[in-house]
Amino acid sequence: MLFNSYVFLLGFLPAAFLIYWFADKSDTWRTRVLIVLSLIFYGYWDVRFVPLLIGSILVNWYGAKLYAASKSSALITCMIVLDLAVLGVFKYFNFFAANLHAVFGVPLVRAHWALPLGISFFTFHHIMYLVDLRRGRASTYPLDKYALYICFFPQAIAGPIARWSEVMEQFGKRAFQPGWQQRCALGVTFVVLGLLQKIMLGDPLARIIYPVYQHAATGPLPAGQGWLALAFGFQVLFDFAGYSDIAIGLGLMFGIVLPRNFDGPFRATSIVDLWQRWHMTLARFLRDYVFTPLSRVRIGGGRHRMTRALVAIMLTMALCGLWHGAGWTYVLWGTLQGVGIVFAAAWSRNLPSPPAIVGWAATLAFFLVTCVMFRAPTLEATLRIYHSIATGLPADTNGFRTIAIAAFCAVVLPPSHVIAARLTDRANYYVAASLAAATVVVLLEISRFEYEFIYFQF
Amino acid sequence: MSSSTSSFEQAAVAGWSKWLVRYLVTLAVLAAALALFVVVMDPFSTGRFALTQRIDITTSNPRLSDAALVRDKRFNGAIFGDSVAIGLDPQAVASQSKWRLLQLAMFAASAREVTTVASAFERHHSDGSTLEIFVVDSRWCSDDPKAQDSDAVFPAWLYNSNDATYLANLQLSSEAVVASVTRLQIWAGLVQPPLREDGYAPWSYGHNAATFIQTRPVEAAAPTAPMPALDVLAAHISALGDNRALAVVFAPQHVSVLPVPGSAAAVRLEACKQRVHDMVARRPRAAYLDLMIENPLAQDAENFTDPLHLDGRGLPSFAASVAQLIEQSGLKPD
Repeated sequence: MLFNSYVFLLGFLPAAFLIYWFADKSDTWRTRVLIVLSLIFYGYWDVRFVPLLIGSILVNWYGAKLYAASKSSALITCMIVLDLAVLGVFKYFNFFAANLHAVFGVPLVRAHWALPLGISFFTFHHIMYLVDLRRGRASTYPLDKYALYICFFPQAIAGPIARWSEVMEQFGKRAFQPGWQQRCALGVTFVVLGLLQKIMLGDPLARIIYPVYQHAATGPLPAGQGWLALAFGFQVLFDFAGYSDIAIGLGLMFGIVLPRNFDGPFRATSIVDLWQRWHMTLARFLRDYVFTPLSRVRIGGGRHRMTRALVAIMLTMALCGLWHGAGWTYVLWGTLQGVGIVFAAAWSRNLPSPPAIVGWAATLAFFLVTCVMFRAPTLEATLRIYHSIATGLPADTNGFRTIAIAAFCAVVLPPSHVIAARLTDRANYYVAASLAAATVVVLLEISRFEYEFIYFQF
Repeated sequence: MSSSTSSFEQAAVAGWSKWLVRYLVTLAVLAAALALFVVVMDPFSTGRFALTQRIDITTSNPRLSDAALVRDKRFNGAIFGDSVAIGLDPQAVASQSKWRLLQLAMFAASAREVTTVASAFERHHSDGSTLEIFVVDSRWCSDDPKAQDSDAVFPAWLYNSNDATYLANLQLSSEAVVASVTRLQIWAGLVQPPLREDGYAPWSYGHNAATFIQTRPVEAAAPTAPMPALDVLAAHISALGDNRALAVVFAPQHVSVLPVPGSAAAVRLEACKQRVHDMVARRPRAAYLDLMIENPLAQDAENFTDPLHLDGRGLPSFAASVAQLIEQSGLKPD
């Protein structure tokens, strides 16, 4: 079920809110009802994957219980390997099969199964919990709480990737306690802001750049047309930041505070700064559960600590790219992000900081240019776009007004969480009416185009 | 102290309750007012639940404007197809004949969309003889099961849905709101309709030399493989009454996209053309014309916007050929 669809906004959400309103009064039913609603939300897309989700919850929860009883570290390792194996089979089988075929001539086998929605995200949730359990930071939880941690519908499909410690204690508590109205108003504000980002900024950009990438996939682009392709960076920002805001808003409406995912990334003055503001919950997952263990691997003794850290950054970001998609363009994109981070880190250690405006321009340019390979279907298409950019300026200004508005919103306006806080610092009825009018505009605009969120494919 | 704090908290709770109520009430009132406005304005001139039965063209999007045009009884024929047909001037095609033609082609239209519009045209012209001109291209010969459908959002609800479906879709459409306002402006004389009254707008795309770099097709499915788009067209044609005149035309395409002679692609295209020819030959008052051939028109890139679409220089020749077909085939109104 898409957040930006009528079936969700006019059907599921009002019904789920009402049902939960009544269920919230019961300590027995509160969490269970939220789980059932989440499974309905998940199953609406493709009911075949509901058993996979439920099975994944049961196996990991039971594994955690066994670990608590046995303290067998190997058990946690097995669980993580199993989770990654399931992810690998569904998401990377064809990628690895194609590469084995290309390199070793292994007969090509292609799988034709669909990618279960949100599998990357719920796999990460399992891993975070299991690793922290082994580290002694997490305890075991009742099945209903663990199930809700994995399948809670606002965040199950595409995050934010909440830590167990951020949400587990919130589950099971009454949502509609005195004062819930203010939290709910903030939630509504986040949902409307998220929909506006997705539908009024992200989707129009998608319509502008789609023909460019299509054209690049089939042949050379006219000189200058490739400049439009750079707008993909803005599109993916508003698409995913919009999704995250809707998820955060829905969480608030149902009494759960989810972590922030974006913090004005295109105002960053270095690539390190940008990655601290972009998909923040993924970035901290990568830092805590990939980079940190990798950087502690002892190779070459203590003298090479810096080298180890730099290699760990590169590997982490390459894996970040691979997580986004089973293709070498994604790996290259991630690796380039790693190169950028290493370069910025080396610069900050050895050279004076450039003026903020120079840092900002270089960071934004680097990110927008490298995002082309994230979106382009092949490396060849990426190079065609770069060639088109290098050989001329755009022949006309079609689409540039939309891009300019999006750039203004991304760079000049404050992050959406700041806007939401300002709009709800007091109960202003004009704000409520304005948000209602914005909701009507969004509902009308949905009728024209209904696009998936980009991060659903990950 | 505690009682004043408590009353302050109660006031805050009441304030946020009112905020939520204000949001929901404004949302409901705005949505209801817009819905009522759009319904009575009948933005696409379908004649349903409308203040007036007159026909106004309020949008240049053919998928929407065709819903009004198919109702116009001043016309007794129409041109159907996708973007290869959209530049044909219906007045030039009708030429000296007694036909008064509409331009009902749509960009990137699928077979299903084209025949949906054609069926709606037939339904609104059931009391007289009509001429349907279908312009097809190599896309109609594809074996892809999706060739009969399209990725574009097609408002089927405007053409053949029941009233409940029509109302539900109309009220959730930003195009409907914009078109309602445009219709008010047309009535007030503030704006002109975006299309000519027969649905035609001059082809405005220049020559794009960068697109003429393709390799001529060689590979294709077997000639016996399915042609799902033609299946849809055949079903439509077989349902036409005998008082309907029909012409099916293969549109000219630049030589760079025509199959290499003797290749599998050429064999497939010939089988497709033969099937269309046979489809037409089985009917009375029907004509077939193949302009997708290597001739001087197809060999000169200057006649085309891109390899698939004739531009302002090539289109008059295309229209003249279709006009000639109508005249020579004796296709006349009853």
